[in-house]
Amino acid sequence: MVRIIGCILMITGCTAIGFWRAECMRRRLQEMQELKRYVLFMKGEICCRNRTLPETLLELEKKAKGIWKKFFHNTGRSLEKMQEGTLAEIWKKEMTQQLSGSYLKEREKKEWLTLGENLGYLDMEMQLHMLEIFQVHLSESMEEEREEVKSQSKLSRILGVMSGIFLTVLLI
Amino acid sequence: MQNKEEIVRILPISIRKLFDENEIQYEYLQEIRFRVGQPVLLQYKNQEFPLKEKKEGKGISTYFFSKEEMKETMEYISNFSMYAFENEMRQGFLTIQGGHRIGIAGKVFVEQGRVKRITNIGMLNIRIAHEVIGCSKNIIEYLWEKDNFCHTLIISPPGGGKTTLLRDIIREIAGDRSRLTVGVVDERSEIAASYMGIPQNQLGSRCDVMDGCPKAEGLLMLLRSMAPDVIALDEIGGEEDLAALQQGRNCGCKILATIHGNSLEEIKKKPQMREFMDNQGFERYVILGNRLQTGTIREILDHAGKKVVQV
Repeated sequence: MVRIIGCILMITGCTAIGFWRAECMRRRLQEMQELKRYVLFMKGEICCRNRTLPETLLELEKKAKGIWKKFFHNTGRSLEKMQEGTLAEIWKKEMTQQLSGSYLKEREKKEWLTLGENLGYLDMEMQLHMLEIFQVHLSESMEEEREEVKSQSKLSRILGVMSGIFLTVLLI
Repeated sequence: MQNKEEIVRILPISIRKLFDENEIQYEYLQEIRFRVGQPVLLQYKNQEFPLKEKKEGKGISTYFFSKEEMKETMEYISNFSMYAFENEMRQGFLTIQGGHRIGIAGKVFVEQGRVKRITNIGMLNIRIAHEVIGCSKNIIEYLWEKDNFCHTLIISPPGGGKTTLLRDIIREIAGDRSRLTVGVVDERSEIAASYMGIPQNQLGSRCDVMDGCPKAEGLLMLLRSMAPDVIALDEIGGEEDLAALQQGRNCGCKILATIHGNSLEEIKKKPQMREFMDNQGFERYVILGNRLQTGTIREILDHAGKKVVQV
């Protein structure tokens, strides 16, 4: 009886790991799509409505979900207060605090951090340029991620189930 | 004190601490000058002195302003969005909430003969606006002839207090006592310090403000839309300004304006002004003292240049 329960747990656990990995990939892609939408919105607010960064971030808060909502809210409010240092410092602090649960890879997080370090300074042309560079990099990452999801999510699920069965057979 | 909050929020955090250490009283602060690599200079109680810092074991020394602090200051001044103030910065200054004017200097990029942008900002001059209610009390009666308000020109060197005086005269004549409708063209947002279209300074209940609008255009817009008795403008001098002023006078409006200068003679040396003054002129000239005597009224002259009163 114990052996049967053990086998079931083993197979379930490995399958869950496989499915979790596939889900992570799907969520990462979803988060990147949302981020792309936020950057597009940001571009509109800055370039068309000539809004300041705190105003833009607080407006973005209304469009965002989950950890991003919190990130935009806290960053916007901190900027409004003008008591917590430079934009780069506030951006970095809020990223560490709010975006730790993000599915983004280190590379994308680094690019988001660089964007925060350069935003606000210099003229409109420069803002547009910075946001466009980020968009291009994000689109490239999304393309890679899409390929990865296509090829690896099914594989992860199957590998999860198969490794569960394999380990069960091995242990029996 | 509202002034304090408006000023403190644009200073780098290191300077905020030094201001507290130096026990700066914001009501006496007139000007703050930041230059990268140079001492922070304060115009305080009509005197200039450098900001000091206390270093443990080294005593008191002059504080030098860094490049990082300049970047931090610019972020605060522009609300972390320098791009949003591109047009203002092209003119070399920004006006922040409260009507405080910030002059900037640095590397200027010119394209097709026009200033495209100012980057690498290395110097700032923060001029603190002071609303001195009642500062026109002693002179206001000399600006009237019988029941008519006179066309008035306030002449003062930079920092002499002309905008402060202009603001108070507006407040006086647009108040319940004189009951004149005053149209203000506030090109640099210094007179009314409007925020989201609402004046933050007290300007009287019969005052209409065109905020951030070029003087000549604003004057004509006010004439068409608000039927003012008096039109008030700061720092006139351009050809367009004078043409618009003439139109205002032709419409029966009284003019209340300021101009940079030390004396009536100096103003008359400017060809366009001389022509305007010969043709139309003002009925009263209020001459202010220099920046070391901010707010001091030297004399009031009539249209012929004769003293109405020695203040």
